[in-house]
Amino acid sequence: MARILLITDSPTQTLCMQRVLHALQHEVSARTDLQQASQTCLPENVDLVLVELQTSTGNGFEAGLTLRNAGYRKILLLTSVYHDTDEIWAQALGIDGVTTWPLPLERLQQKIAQVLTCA
Amino acid sequence: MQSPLLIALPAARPTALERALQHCVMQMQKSCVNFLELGAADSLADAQAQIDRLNGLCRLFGARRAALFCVELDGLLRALAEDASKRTTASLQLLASVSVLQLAHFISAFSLPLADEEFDATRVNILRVANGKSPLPVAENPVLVGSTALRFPVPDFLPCVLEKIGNLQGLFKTHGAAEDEDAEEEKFRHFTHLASVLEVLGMSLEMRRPPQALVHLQMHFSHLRAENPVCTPRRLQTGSPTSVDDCQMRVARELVLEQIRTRFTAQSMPHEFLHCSHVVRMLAESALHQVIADEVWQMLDCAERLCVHLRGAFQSATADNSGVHKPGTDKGQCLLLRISLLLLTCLSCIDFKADRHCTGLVRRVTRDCHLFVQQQQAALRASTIKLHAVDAALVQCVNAELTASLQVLESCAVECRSAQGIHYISETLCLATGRIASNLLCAGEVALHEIVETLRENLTLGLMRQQPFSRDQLAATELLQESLRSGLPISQETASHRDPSWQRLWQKVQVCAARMAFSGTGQEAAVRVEKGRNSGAEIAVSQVPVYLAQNIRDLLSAAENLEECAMRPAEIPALNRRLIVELRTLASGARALGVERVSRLSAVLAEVHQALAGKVPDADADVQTGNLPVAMLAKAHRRLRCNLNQAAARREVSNPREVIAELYQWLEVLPLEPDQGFAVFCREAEELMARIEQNASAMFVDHAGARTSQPRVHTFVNSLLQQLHTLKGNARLYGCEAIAMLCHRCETILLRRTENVSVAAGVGSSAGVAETMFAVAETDCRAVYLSRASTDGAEQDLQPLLVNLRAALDALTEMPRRADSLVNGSTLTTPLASTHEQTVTVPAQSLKRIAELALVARTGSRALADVLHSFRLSADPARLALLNDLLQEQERCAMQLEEEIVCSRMISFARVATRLHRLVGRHSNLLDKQVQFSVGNEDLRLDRLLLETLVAPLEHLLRNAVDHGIEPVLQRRASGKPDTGRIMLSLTVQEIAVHEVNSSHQRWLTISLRDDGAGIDTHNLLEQALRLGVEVDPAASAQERLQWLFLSGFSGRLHATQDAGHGIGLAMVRDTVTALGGGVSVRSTPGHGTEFTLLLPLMNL
Repeated sequence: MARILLITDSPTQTLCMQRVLHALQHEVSARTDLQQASQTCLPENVDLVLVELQTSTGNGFEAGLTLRNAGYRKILLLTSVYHDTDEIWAQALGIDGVTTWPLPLERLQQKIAQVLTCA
Repeated sequence: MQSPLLIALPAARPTALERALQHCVMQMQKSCVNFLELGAADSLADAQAQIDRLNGLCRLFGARRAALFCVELDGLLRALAEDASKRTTASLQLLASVSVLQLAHFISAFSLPLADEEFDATRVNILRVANGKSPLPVAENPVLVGSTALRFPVPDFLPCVLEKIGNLQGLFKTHGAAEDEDAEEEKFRHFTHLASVLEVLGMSLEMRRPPQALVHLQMHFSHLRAENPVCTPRRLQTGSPTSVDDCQMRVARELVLEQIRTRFTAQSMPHEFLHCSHVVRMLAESALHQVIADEVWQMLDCAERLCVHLRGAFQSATADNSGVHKPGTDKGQCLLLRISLLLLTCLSCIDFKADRHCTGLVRRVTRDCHLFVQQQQAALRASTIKLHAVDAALVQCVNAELTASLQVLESCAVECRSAQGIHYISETLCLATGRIASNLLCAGEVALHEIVETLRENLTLGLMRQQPFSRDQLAATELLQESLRSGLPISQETASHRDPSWQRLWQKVQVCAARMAFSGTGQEAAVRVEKGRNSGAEIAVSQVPVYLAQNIRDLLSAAENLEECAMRPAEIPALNRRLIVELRTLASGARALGVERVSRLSAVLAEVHQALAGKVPDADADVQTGNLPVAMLAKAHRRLRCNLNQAAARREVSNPREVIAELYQWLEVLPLEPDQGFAVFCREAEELMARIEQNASAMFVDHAGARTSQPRVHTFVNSLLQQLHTLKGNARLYGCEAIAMLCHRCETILLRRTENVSVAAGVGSSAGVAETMFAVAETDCRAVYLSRASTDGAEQDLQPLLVNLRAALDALTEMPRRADSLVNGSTLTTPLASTHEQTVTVPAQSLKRIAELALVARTGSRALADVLHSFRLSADPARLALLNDLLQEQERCAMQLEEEIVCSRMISFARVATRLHRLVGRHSNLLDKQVQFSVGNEDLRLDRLLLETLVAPLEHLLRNAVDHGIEPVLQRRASGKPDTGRIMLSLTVQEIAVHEVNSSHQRWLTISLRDDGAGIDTHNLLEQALRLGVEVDPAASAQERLQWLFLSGFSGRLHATQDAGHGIGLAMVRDTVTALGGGVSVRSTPGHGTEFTLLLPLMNL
């Protein structure tokens, strides 16, 4: 049970992820762009931020960095195409991880739990 | 199933033993051949050692005939060594080499025991007869023993070794200390066999404490056996196979099934499988790149990762119940089997050597993966639908997004079709394709997702490499639109992948992928990534992203520390050093990846940091913080990070032109050393200004007095123009726009004058050939008239401009000069009016040495004086000797001093090269061209004055090459050249005989500047000459026409811009070079490039 902020500009993805995350009993608030998200959802009210890597306005790595600098603690990037380098790059930027979607529920839950528990 | 395929299968990777064996056999062959040819004793010894080893191995695996063969071969070689005449006998030589080949062939046989059965006893007998022994009896019907028919040495090797160890241990136990000779001999025999095996494996058996060593070995091998179940499949059950082929087939099949049992449990999970296919694709790419790099291990890592990934995928498939659907149909099983077979073949191919064949295989794997996904579509679809709880709302949402993306695609395609020229792949297109792919996945259309995803990947790769939008890609995009149009709206109930347009799209996408892979290797063939720490290491291009990312982690943290570090100056030098290394690595890595923009930015940044390191010594902390351009560096690093993020997210990398320009500007303004950068500019500007003023005043005075002849005015104007041009170029380079503007205006005024003159000349020359003489005279008259008329105006304009210019220059040079006078107590610049200013900057070290030598010389002369004085008092022979010594010492000192001074006049060309490198970098950045500049023979030491005089012409030629020579990227691509233009400067010193009679030689310096740009179109030159009114011979050949370029007032350009096209620069180059006693020539091939060659005499020192 975590409070999750979802940032993506695709309605389908929002719908999908909301369903999946609800099924995993998380509390989800979805936003379409970064600015809106950081204005309306304060870092202290969010346990985890899920950011889509490929959006039409910018890229997830930049967004992740901005979020990290804005004080959000846990950030997980979402991508539908996984590259080996993504994980390393995300680590280099201080982002907690990259996960592919769609993913079986258990795996997603595992990943979320892993990010939330690591210091 | 075909046997050739299967034969390669059993060992997915050759074991260390197999490699060692291969090596052993190779070595044996080499040594034997060596021995047969040369009869060298050491190669014989080597060959015998290898044969011994093989003998031991053959015995170990029960191949008795082969072992016998080894013994006989050894005997033959020994006999050949003993008798040199035998060695040279052709028939024996032939026999020996054939035997060696047979042995090698035998060792690499599929199954050693089987091969031994096959091994013809007559072969042994031939050798025996040659060695003078009686032949062995030959059995009529060799019996095949199927139960031992196993692949050598993989399956049976470990148990065999273990058995041997067990035997030895038993022997040690029973005859621990007994002095039984037979037992000892047996022990020794076993021991040598084991030792030979271990030697092949690269292990050593400790002879002093055999029992303990054996225990260790036993543990090691049992561990290996437990770890490697794949290598020890169950023995064949059936008694006697009918034929060898059948037997091989059975073994192979057994092994394959074993592999598949462990790796592919014939279960699959859809999404993991998609990722698997992606990894396979990556493998395909790396396999392609493998053709370039030799690093097999990276490939193996890749393959291993794949296996791990696959294993993980299938393990999770068996454990996880949520999204899993077993491939129920038999067809799916078959496909999976085929995929796995292919995959295994690929892996074994990659292991030995990666080639195109292997790539083809991997591509087939990918295709089969796709087919599999398609076949399992229904199951996967159901699982995804369940996962996302797909309902009407979601489908509606998907449809809406698909329609929107389709519109984007359409507009992109329309744009590409309507407008002319080459189109690049746009980011919008990639994003839209990605959007479509992910939406299809959401709705459960997994197969379609796979197709679109492949297309998207292809497009993204093109975007990253800034490739144009190819016809295939355009066709694929159009097919995608068509398929979408027919498929929309997708519904929850029916799957839409049966549509034929999707099949066509898939075929097209595959064509695109093949093209992309091909284009990738062509360009990256020469890639050599320089690792920061161990430079020159080659990295497979596919590995670069990972490698970079790991490196960049350091870089990013370091750059983020930069601002903090500014507060703690003590840490800056260390940080700086690290940044230089990382940035350089990044630059070369990014170039290898084809991300030119990141590469350019990081290269300049590295240079800035280098400059900082050179400038700021570790000691003086206060100066550091004052000089550190923190804001600029932070901005640049932010930009770099932003660009890297774009590249990492596979987006278009934005152009960092402004940042690069800013960095270059900082670099140029930075007063590095007194003889570099800005200081040189100030000094030269001062010098030029003095000459300009001199010329201008002379011209005005002459004009006022109206006494000057026209040619003389011409010379004044020409030299003025040249000087102004140089000053303008330099000023622009160092970012002094105000001065550049003023120069430009002066030039325009002067040019207006000369244009008038030329118009007159043009009218004159067109009057007719017959009246040439008359026309010339007339022209002169008119020119004088016209020029007088125009100088009136020009003079009025020119004078205030020159005054302004002087003021601007003074303001510019004021600061450094004041600083200098504070430091040195005198001004740096000596009177500048003379043509060859004689200032020499001497390195501090050298100066110190000179001072020391001078001191020694002075004390020496004082001592000399003393001795002379005493000599006057009494003429002692001992004093005479002392005097002699002193004189010699004095002479040596003087010689050293002279040498030192001469050396301090000679400087390496590399010091100028830095400046030229920057000029090219900065100028190409301004024009947004990609240029690679290289200097050959950089370390050549030349007279300082000569070099300083040459800098201006060289700079001009370089500017020309970047401006006119190198074409824009698009044009280069259209003419099939690589994106990056090359400019090469090479220096050579030659000795050319001046007089053949007295054989005196003159040393000449040849500087050649070559570019691979557009070349010079000689046809246009004549029109141009007529248009500009320069007097030329219309019948001149192409080569002669090229020489016109050096004429004053001639330009190959139609329109003059601020930088070029006035016909001044090259004339200046020629004048400077002729003033130094040399010459300049030009060669050009239209479409292929231009070469300027400067030939200069060198003074003999």
